[in-house]
Amino acid sequence: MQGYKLNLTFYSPCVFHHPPMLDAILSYCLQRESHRYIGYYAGTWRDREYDGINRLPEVLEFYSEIPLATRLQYDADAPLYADSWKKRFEPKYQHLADFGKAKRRIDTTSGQYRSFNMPLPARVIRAGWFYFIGDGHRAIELLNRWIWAIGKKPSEGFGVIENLDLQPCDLNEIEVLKRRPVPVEIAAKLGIQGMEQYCAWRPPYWGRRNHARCVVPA
Amino acid sequence: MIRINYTFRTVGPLFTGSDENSGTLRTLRRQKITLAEQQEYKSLLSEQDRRNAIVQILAGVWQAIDFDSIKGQRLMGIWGEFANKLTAAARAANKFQFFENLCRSWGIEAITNKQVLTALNLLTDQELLDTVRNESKYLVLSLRVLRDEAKTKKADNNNDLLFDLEPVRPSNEAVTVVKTEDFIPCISGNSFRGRMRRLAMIDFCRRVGITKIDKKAYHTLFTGGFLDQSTQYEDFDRLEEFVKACPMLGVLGSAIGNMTIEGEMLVGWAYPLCRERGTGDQSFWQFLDTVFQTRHDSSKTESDLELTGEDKEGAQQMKYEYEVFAPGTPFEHRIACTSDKELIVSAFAHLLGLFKESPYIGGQGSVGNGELDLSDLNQKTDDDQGQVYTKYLDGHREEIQKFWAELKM
Repeated sequence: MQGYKLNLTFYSPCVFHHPPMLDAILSYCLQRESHRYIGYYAGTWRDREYDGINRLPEVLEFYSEIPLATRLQYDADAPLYADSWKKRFEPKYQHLADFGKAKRRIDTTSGQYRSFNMPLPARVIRAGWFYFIGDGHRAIELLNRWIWAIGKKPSEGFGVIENLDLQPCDLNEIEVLKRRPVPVEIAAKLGIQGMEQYCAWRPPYWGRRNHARCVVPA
Repeated sequence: MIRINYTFRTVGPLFTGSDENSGTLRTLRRQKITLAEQQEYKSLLSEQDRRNAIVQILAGVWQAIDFDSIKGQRLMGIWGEFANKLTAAARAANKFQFFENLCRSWGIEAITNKQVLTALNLLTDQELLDTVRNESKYLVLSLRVLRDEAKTKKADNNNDLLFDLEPVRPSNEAVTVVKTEDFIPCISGNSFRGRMRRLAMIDFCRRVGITKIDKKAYHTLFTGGFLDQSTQYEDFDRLEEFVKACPMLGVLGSAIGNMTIEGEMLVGWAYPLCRERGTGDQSFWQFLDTVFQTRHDSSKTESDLELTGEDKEGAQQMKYEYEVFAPGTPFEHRIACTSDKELIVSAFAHLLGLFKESPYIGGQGSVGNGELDLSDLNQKTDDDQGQVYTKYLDGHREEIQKFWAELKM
């Protein structure tokens, strides 16, 4: 399969604690396809039900079991700032709410109805890029169909993608692997150096069975 | 995926509050941006001299204020008022407009201090406006310290002698100042979502005839719900039932028990079309304004009603100020829907129709803020698409009513 550089420009700042992984994004797209195109199941997927990873070879080349796709690359001096996300109980139509025999009041400082002002680390990335080895046309088709934004809180407008551009390029496996988490044993075998971290190395990245001691880009 | 990229304009002032206040001024929510084109200008002043030059301008203005006409409470908060008026004046397009705005805001007819003119001529538009916009607190503090020093020296009350400042002198070599980032005022996607959710859900309840609903279910519909259970298994069929009983949940998403419904609608942030983002010719600063409101204490003029209580003599009146986008500010905005299910797409279209019928966003709506001109969105969407959704609700009214009436969460 061919190597590609996928360029992205962003409409809004991107929120993430760990940089988004292209293989995770593509496996989400494949999962959406597999699940009868119904998105509202997405929040309920469990590790064992996640078959996006099983279909990933349709789009990406693998080294051992590691998908050959990098995490999001961007300029190191992209500014970081604290944004926030807010939520509060809606009092306007409270006449509809049945409080039973309890007093008609809610506690907004704690418990189920508490108000949120959640801080979010937002990074102002104008242009980012991924490298991958795989089927470029299928990848861009999936991204255009399913992906509007990447990172956390996409439905509130963070990480919205302005434009996607795919360019073929000469890439070898090592060049891709050194830009993503790789289990330490494989990294040692390939001579990949970086920072050691206990983290996931393949999608779904929230799945516990996918975590191991890895070498990640410093 | 349905992608709607459109522009809108504000009809009246628009305010979306941040967590921050600047003195007594409530500021707009802001987001950091890297400028589309970095701004460069040549300056004949060092960083400190630049600040000193601006303080000299402010000192000249301060000297010209008619303090005899300012009394009582207002005099106590005079520095806060000065800071607010300084920030408001910095929304000008150039240094001359800034100076004019600042003088007007204090009712100043004439300034006699020549150093003001010298300082004004030394500064470029960009360096004066940038410094005031980003360092107003420091500038006001510097002015205040100078004022207090003058007072302790027991300076004569003759205004010309109040500040004893050395004129700022330009350096021989110009330095290049580069600016690459700024904080742009904007409207969060969450503001739009919250507003649309409430419009959609009250419309849903009215159409179906729901007049009473479990408190948790109310929260699920109108606010997005919460997760309060932790079990190993999730019931997909149950989840499907919720979406069937309220298709808007499929559009907007929610959290129920231990399940999260991921909404199919995605809402972006709205940004002013401006030079800083490379989307317009004007700076976003030129779209900003300050609005003030007052609350009158009518108990002071009440004659037919006897007032009781311990604090009946205390005044309960106030003036408050907030930063707004001026009427006519152009914005870009994006909305998307990832679903291709007919009912969900139709519900999405109906939701946009509701928003177009009630085109308001942000706060202070009760005093005439937040109206939008959505004619571009109107052209890019088809209201008839919403009929599948409304017919679905009409056809399933009884089942839906029964579902929500019997629901115990």
